[in-house]
Amino acid sequence: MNIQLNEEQKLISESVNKYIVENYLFDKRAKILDGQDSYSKKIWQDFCQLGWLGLPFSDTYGGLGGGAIEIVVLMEAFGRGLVLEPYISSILLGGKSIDIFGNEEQKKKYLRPLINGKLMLALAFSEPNARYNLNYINTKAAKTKDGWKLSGEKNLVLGANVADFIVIPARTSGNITDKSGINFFVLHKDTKGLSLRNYKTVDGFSASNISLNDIEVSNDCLLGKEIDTDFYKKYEKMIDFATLAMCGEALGIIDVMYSKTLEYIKTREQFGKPIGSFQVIQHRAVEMFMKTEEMRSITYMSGLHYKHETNVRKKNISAAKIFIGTSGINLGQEAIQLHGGMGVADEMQISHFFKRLTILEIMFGNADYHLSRYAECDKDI
Amino acid sequence: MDLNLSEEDLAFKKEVKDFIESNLTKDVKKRVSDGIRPEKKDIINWQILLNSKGWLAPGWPKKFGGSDWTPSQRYIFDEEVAMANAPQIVPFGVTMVGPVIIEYGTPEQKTKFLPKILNSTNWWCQGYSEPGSGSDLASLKTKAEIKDGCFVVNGTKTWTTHAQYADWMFCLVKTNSLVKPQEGISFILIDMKSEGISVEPIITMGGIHEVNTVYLENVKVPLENLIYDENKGWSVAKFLLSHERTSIAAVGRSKQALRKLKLIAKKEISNGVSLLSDARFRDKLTKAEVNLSALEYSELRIISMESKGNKPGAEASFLKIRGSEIQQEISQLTLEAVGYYGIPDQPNYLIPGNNEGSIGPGYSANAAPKYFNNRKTSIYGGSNEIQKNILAKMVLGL
Repeated sequence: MNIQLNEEQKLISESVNKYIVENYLFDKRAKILDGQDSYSKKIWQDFCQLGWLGLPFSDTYGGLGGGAIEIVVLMEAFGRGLVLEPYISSILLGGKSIDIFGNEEQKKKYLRPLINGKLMLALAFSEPNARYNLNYINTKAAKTKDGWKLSGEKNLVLGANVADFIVIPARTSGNITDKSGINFFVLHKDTKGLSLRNYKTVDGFSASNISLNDIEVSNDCLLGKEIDTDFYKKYEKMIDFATLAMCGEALGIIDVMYSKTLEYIKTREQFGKPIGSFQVIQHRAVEMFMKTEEMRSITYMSGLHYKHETNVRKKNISAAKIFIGTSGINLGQEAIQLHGGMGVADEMQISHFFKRLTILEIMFGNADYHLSRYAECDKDI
Repeated sequence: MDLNLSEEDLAFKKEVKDFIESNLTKDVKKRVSDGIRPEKKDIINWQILLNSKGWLAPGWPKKFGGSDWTPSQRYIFDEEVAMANAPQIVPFGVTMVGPVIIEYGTPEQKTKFLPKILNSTNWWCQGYSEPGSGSDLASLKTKAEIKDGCFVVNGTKTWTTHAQYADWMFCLVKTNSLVKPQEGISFILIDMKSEGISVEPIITMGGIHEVNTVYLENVKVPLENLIYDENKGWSVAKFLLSHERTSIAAVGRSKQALRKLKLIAKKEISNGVSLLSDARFRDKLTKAEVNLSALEYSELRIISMESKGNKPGAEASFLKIRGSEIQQEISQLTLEAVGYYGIPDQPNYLIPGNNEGSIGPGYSANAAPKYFNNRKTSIYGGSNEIQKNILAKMVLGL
């Protein structure tokens, strides 16, 4: 047993952290945040050059074949820099959809340009009223003579307006919450009948609500084959991978929030001495320290169990999400509180970390959702 | 001890209901409910209406234009106003500097300032915090020196809410640096149009411009704008803070927010059923409501004592602590209730007079900004840590 990063993982960690520290400065990020696309094409090309766009893909398509821990390591560093580039939406959601469900031809068509930084993807994983249930799909795909006709509504499609192609989960058969009868279709963003309402998210990313109005598409838009009994299992696992990545990102954020707070209480003086000299503050800082350590442990634990059988994997990913929703959110709130008024000022980095952490807690199910999921996977005791 | 409303109270309740019904437009109610920030004119219109009825200043004696209500009348009024989604009254004049002027002001100061607070021609802001003086307020550095028959003020105030709108600022300044910090502070009133004042916005986490930094450079203030005695400002500040803490417990507002949260939870669907019947969520909602009830009845007890002639003291700190925690709890649950709908940033929807429809249900648009912005409640008005210090010292005798 060894719960430490190996040499290769350390190398990834060092190189990503070095890049973020040198290139992703707060004022530079502020400019990206103000831009319409919410990301920098130049930085995306750097990610490409450094091989990160191909990290979770097989070398057949030019990837690096990285697994769960490698993604955690990369995302932790992204969390430290509050990276806005659509890595999760384009690579881990859009890209992995093609990778997992596409046929050989489709993989060749999309993955190489994706990894080469020439193409962007997105996945429409949510619908109005679905809450966090992936199987709640009311978007219909009806067979036509030459292909399919799609209609429905999607919301919170992260990175859709900067994507070239959007992967659309649609129901080919069954009822609204059935776990079977779902397929993925890949559509060009400019397809007639596809309309986007673009917006920014409160944590600074770009997203869209999408309407599909009787869109006629050809058969080659269907990813993989129509009948796939393992479809939903694979879909859940893919979302768990992205969720794990978000836990890695949250780890980076939590680590920074703790360190920044520690630094602040050592320097901010009131009543003639640093506020960190007061016991009431010290004990709270110690709580933050312990939570940060626990967050690292539980994130690594989730990563290490990603390959295990379904229920074990789901339980472990849910554990990390629950931890973010309880201790993580508490740590974030304490970080703001100990910064006093400065904590709520937009000009202070700490407030931006807080916002992203808040959204990561919600993404792919908040603590309540994962408490239920954990219990369901833990029935056989 | 009883909760029964007297005949007079019941009549009063009906009068308040009728008044709101005939004076508050649907449009304003809807905007307040969706969290769209009311325009200054909406607030002023509402304040003028209340004042025409003599209802703007519940805590002021009648002879100064207040309503001099009994605790039960205050309770009835706050409840009705909150439930009707009326705009919030701006506290700086009516609930903060007003009572100070009534308690400590000269007859001239009363005549000059009180009517203009009541008719909303003067907007006030509070010049307390400074970049280096937050929790440790007494360490403030803004100086007022007497030169040529007036105070000359130099320094920087920060976190000044509404400074961008204010006509006047009540301000704590250092008038003697040779004594203990608390003994060298004075409470003065500064005309915001005076030469040497500049206001710089601070944008907070919810993307909102509410607070500012105010720079004072050789600002001349007439000596007659001193409240109470020179170097006695700390007593005035303590009096004001105890009043402020009762009002920033925000029970009415929290009741309104909780009711809105219930309506949202009723509409939101989780696994095919209303989120309101999701036990996991419902429990949290109920706990918040129980906490709010404990706060509400604590406030009522304190108001009852006050009506028997006891001045609000350190107990007010307890209301501030719990009040801020509950505001945060409810806004956190609201963000939780709206799920993914809370993620789109839609500042334009929250601006008055917008023509854009909301992304997702209208009730979700303000959930995240409100949650972010409410982090301030445990920081402002004396941080909760400072309130606990006050309670430990003044009430527990530690």
